[in-house]
Amino acid sequence: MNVQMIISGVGGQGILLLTRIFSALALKEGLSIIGSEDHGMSQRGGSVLTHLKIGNFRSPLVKRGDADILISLEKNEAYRTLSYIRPSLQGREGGLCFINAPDPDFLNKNIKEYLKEKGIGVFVFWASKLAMDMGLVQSTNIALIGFATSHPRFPFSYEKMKDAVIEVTPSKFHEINIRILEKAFLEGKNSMAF
Amino acid sequence: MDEREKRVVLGNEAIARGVVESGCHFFAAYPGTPSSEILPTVVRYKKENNLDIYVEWSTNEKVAFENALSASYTGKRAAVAMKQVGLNVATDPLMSAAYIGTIGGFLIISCDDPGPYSSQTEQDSRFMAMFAKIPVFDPSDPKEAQMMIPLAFDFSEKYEIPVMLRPVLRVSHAQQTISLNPIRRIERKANFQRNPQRWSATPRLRFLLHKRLNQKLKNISEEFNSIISFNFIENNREKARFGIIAGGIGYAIAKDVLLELGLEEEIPILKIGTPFPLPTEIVDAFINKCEMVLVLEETEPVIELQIRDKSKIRGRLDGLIPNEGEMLPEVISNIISGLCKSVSIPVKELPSLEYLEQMLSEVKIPIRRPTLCSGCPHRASFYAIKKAFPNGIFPSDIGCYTLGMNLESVDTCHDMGAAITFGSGLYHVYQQDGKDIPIVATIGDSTFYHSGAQGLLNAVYNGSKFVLVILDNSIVAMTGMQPTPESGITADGHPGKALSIEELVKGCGVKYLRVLNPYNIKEMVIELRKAYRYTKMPEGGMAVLIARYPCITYERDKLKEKPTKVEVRHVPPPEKDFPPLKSKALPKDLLPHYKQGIAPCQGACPIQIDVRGYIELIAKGEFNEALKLIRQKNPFPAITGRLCSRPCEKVCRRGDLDQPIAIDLLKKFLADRIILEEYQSPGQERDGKVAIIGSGPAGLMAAYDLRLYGYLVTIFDSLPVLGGTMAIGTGRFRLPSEVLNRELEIIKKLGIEVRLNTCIGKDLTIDDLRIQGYKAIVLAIGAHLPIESIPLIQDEERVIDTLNFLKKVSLGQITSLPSDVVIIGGNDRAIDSARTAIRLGAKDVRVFFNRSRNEMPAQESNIKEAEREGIKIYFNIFPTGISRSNGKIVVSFKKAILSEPTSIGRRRIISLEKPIQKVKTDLLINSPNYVPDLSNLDGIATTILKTIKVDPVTLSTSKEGIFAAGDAVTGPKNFIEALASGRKAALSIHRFLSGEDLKKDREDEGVSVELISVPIDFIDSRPRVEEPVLPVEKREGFKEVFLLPDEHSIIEEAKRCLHCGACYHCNMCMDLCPEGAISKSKEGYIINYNKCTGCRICVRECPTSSIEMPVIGACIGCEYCLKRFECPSLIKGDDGRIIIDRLTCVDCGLCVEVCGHQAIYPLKGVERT
Repeated sequence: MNVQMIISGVGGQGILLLTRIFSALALKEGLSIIGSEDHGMSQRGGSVLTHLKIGNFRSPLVKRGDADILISLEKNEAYRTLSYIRPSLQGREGGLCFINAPDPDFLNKNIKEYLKEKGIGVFVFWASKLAMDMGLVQSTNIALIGFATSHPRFPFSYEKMKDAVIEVTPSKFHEINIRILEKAFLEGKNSMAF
Repeated sequence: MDEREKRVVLGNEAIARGVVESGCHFFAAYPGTPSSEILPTVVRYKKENNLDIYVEWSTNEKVAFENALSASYTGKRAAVAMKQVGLNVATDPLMSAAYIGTIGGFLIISCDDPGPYSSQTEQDSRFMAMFAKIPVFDPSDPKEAQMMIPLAFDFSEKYEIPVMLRPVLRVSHAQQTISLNPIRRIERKANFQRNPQRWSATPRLRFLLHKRLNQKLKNISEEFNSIISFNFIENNREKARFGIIAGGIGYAIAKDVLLELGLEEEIPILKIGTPFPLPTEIVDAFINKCEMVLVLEETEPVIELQIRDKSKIRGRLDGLIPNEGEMLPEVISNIISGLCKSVSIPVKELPSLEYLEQMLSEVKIPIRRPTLCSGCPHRASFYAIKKAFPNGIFPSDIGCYTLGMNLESVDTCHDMGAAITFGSGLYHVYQQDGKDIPIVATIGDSTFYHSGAQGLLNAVYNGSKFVLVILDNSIVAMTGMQPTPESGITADGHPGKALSIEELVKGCGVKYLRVLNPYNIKEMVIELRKAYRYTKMPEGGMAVLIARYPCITYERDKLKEKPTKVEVRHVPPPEKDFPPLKSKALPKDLLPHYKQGIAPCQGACPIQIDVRGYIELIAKGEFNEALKLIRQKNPFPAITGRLCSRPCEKVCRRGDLDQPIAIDLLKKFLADRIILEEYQSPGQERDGKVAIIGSGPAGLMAAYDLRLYGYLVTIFDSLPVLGGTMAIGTGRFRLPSEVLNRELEIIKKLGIEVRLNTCIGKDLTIDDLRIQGYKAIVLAIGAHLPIESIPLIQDEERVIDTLNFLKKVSLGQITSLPSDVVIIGGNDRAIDSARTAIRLGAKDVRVFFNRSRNEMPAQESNIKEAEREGIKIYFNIFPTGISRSNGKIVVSFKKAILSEPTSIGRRRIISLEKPIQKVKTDLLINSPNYVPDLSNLDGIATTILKTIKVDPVTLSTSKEGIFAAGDAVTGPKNFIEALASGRKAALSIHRFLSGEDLKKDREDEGVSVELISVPIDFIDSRPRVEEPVLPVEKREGFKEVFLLPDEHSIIEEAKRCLHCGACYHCNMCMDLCPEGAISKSKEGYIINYNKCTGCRICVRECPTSSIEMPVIGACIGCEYCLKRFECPSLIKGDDGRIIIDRLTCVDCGLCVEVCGHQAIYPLKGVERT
């Protein structure tokens, strides 16, 4: 398996936790992983961007237009990182974007059309509301990946994701995190967006 | 099958693993992104595996380097880690170490930051290795970094030379799966072998060492040719049109790019893991095989420069690869693609992103810049600094507080410690020009330990004087919460010591040091200004403030101590009665306007003296001008300074802060000390003669005013002296005769006729006066007729009322007294009588008052001096009867029971208890009520209180042309009100004689009801000047008791004035305006309403309340808080108004005081979730 991912958001949204979840997942599967995270000044309330490459890769940076998966926890950061996503090419389907935002139609119309034309799947899901309603708004990140696992082309299964969440997050939050993951997964399944 | 444990780790963690796997014995580091994670991981491995490695956080990189280097000299393996600019700090020992060489392996890990993402430069540490002449290893990923380290140590020991490992950001902060190797435990005992020729080599020997070093490098370069684990060729072939030499991360990027372009087996790659000294053999051989070679390396052309024949080389030197910024795969992909096409190598076409990127660039995404965390104490400090010195210069330093830039409180951020050194340099440069600009330097606690002390020592030694604020959040925050020396916590828990910043600052010679809590913004502002004042004193020096509060991201629980949930009002509260308002769309009457206000002191003064005006002149030392200003309204300042009840001081706003200005004392000073012959002169002669009956303050004032109007004035008084109650009803020790007479000279000077010993009603009637041509008359006859409340016995010798007593003493009719005197009453006359009695020989003087001290009408100063002079005062004693017995006067008393204090704090008598011991005395002085003596004046209507009935606005009596003023109208009142009354009567007469309406436009006469206030929160408290008094033993005769302080004290007192309502051009409004909307012209300040957002900050901060704009009480979207406070939890809503981002808000409550319209408010009784 070769998967290139971009995870973007704002400092404090738990981007690094997601990175660790995917790393744990890859390790368990015996897959090589290389990625890059932001620290220091770039974190003090700024944009956070993680590159993650699972498979046969040497460089930790995803090239723009190469990402199979874009996970964005904030809509402006989604705009900033949208050009990372891979268009469809020679029969191969385009990449998938999963964006946390309240308004499913927030994307600029022209951009939406362009992405559709290029075979790029864009899915807007209000993960923060789900997490907040479940009582743990800090797990917005968990909710978003839960939703993502419901997509048939998402490279990681719900079960494997669940195991990784349990491995990486503190035990006192296991129960609620799994409930959030599950609820988001089910909402994804029911949404028939796919 | 690889049995080793696999983990996904950060590059720095892989490096730490490599360090412990190499059996390193000594590890030192200083935090710096992107290197900070290495040391804590070494500690973790140490603890997990119980390793014998000494680990320390050193105070800076040079210190770390030297500590570790000394370990290497004893034969132990040592390593030091830092960021690339930290290596600059350690360059001195580095350069020397290459010459001297090492014994135990010595590894320098220097992490570069191409971009740069969190550094001042994107300098290339490989260049530093080249400069220092040591070999450097450049890993392409975390795995390789881990593998290079044991080899690096071996090389170091083999060649006795320090070796560098240079990971870039993308290696240090990459995540990769690595395998854990077994940890070597190398037994080595420290053995420092004496060899001064080597360890302390002098210049001559250095030459030899250098020669040896050059040879070492040659040998190493040769050996590098055969390190095929790190320097190898892929896709090797005999001939190639295009080849790549890739160093470090360049290799990793090239691999993925070639894979994507379908060229992963096409293009030969020479990977270089050891860029210096370059293994020239394999490099030259590779170049020979290729027609064109691209060199890929970060950050500078270190490999490229070492290649001698560059004819085939493409790369940084010819500008193909950009020489600034990080090498991104997008850029490299384009370059490789282009080069391949140029030599006809087929390349996979990749879709262009141009169109998408063009569309994305057109979407307006708000710029997101790094900012201080919500609740960060630095924000509070910077907000206070900007408030205290809106136009200061703010040299700052490296750390989280660099972000103070966003609050416009950081001007420079150069390198570690530069805040202080820039501060001192700037100070001297401005001193050269004699210019005074506030310089406030800010530095963090950890940075201060790193390199602040050196700068501070220099500042003190070389006489710099500025304010330094050490922002002590007790942690190294920006780099990830490492401990500072202040905590005493060592890297691996070995015994250490907690240091004190205060001691260090004092050790640098600083004499002015304060420790503050930045969350108390008000106090910060006050202390900052105090500190600045200290630096400007001739005997002043450096002023250091330590703003101490923990990093709230590190110590989250700190905020749980006092959570303050806040909310932002969007709609003005109903009592304000405003519609919804928006910045830039405010109606004109709600915009700020400059307005001179009447100061409370002037407003409360019955004769409206421009008190603020003359105090300002005194503060400038312009005493003559000050006295002139007083004389415009008050011809009797010397008397006023002694007798006035000081309503001005009661409302003085300084009193809200500490004590009111000693206004009266200032006036007395001028009147007594300044000889100024300039007086007001009479106006043009007018037709009309006026008779003033009575020469007390009311009559004299009326006479003065009328004479200035231009009328002829005659004063009649039944007494043989001028002055009324001032002359015959006041203690001489309070108003000496000389002072009174000197003051009354003005009467003669103005040409006012004086007829003493003339009683109107007896010697002359009112009709006589009319016949004599007096067109108007003022009855200023005072209230001298006693009305007894207690049935008195007639005994002229032993029972007398206070006024009569004082009159007889003044006229020399009483010159000595019996030993035993009793006074009944508590007003000033009663106290004056008591104090007069004691001066006339009475030994036992007792005063009896019917309520408590709080209700005593006399001035507190009078009462206090009476007590000091030995007069005994008894309270709650009510007289019920007087009789005679055995030659003594006997007074019966009952105890008075008082009520609870009323709304104004006074108590009433509600009942009398049983009688108490009767009091016997030789002389009883009683305080009856007094009314005007109208016995000889017919037809003047009186009130029920037996005072003269007048129209309250005009003071006209029931008879036409006759007016009344002073005590005759009000009953006994005070001096200043009598003056005001006389002035009022004079104006009425003037209008009367001019045929004008007496009543028109007179509503504003008299004291003001609404008085302005000024902000006092940020003013430093200073005590009021003491009014010196004559010591009791020196009070012989009727010497004046209250004296004057010296001129300096007077001027200092005047400087305490807050200038309420009068702009004194402090420029605060102009400097503080966040929009730069206020400018200064000759006429004063001007607001540019096109720029004004209505934030109201100028109004709030104006120290004199000279700008008007109401508080709207709701957010108008002016964005002042975003500009000057910039908290990530204050965000702009869709309608432009501010809302709280509950996700990031930490309930610190600091924002409440920011809004000029008080739109942010704390929610009461809400617990933090």
